[in-house]
Amino acid sequence: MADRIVIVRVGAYLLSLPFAQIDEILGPDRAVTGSGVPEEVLSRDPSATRWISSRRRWLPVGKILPGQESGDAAQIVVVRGGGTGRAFMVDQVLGIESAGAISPFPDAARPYTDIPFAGVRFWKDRPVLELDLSGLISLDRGNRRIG
Amino acid sequence: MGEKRLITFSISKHRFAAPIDEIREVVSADAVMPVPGARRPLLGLLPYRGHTVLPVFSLLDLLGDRSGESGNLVIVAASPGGPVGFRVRQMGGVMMLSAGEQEVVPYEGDLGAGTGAVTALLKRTGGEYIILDIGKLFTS
Repeated sequence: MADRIVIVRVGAYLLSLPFAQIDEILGPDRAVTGSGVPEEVLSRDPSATRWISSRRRWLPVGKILPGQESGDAAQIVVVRGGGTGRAFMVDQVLGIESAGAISPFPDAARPYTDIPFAGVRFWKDRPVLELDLSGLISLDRGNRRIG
Repeated sequence: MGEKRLITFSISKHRFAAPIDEIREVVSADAVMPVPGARRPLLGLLPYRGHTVLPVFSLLDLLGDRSGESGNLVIVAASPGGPVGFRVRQMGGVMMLSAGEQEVVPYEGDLGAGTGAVTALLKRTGGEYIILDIGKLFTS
C-alpha cells in the first residue's frame, strides 16, 4: 500500500517525512527571533533562536541534521509526534508524493548514527531515508535541555 | 571436519580470507549512499535486491584500524542481523583449506583484538591471509 510522504532536501541529503505527521509547511518569513515572541514562550526554551507561530501555538524552529546551516532555510516544516509539535528548517520541499512500503533502517547501522531514521523509501528508484519524527522531536528537546 | 573454501580479498595492505558460505556476493560500490550524521565504521547504505538497503562498513574500522581505506567493490556478507557490506579494494580468489592444515597459525597482530572476528593466519606461498569470522563482528 502506498503511503504519502513529503520529500525534502537538507544540505546534500534527500529525506522523507510521513505526510500524516506534517501539520504545515511554511515560508521562512514566518519565523521570528526574540522580538514578537511572548516572554513566557522565550523563557520556556531559552536556547531556541527562532520561533514560529503555528495553529495558535509557538514552536521553536530546530535543525534536522547536525551541522545544518541555519541562515537560509527555504521552508519550515511543522510536524507532530509523541504528543507534541516542533518546527524544523529544510532547504527545499521537493514534493508530496505516494511511495511504496518503507523498508526498515538496518539494525547493524543504528549504533553509528544519532539521527532517528524510521527506514528507507524508494522514490523515483532512488533510496531516500525517512525520519522518525517522534524520535527527532524527542532528540531536539533533549539537545535543547543539554544546550 | 573436512575441507573449507575461503574467499580472499584485500583492503589497504591487508589480505583477508573468509569462509565462502559467509559471503553472498560481490557488487559495485558506486551506488553507496552516505547516511547523514553517520560515524565510521558505517560508510553508507547500498540499494540491494530491489527495495531494500544494506549497511556498508569499513572492515578495518570494525577491526580497530582507523587508517581508512577505499575501494570500488562491496563484499556482501551474512550477519546475524541480516546482510551487511564491506568496502574492499580488490578481490583475490577462492582457496581450499583442509582440516588440520599446517599453514594455519594463530594470528598475533592487533587487528580485531577483543572481537573474536580474527580466527587465525593462513600462510600460503605468495602471502599471508587473515582468516575472519564475519558474524562475530556484529554479535559483541
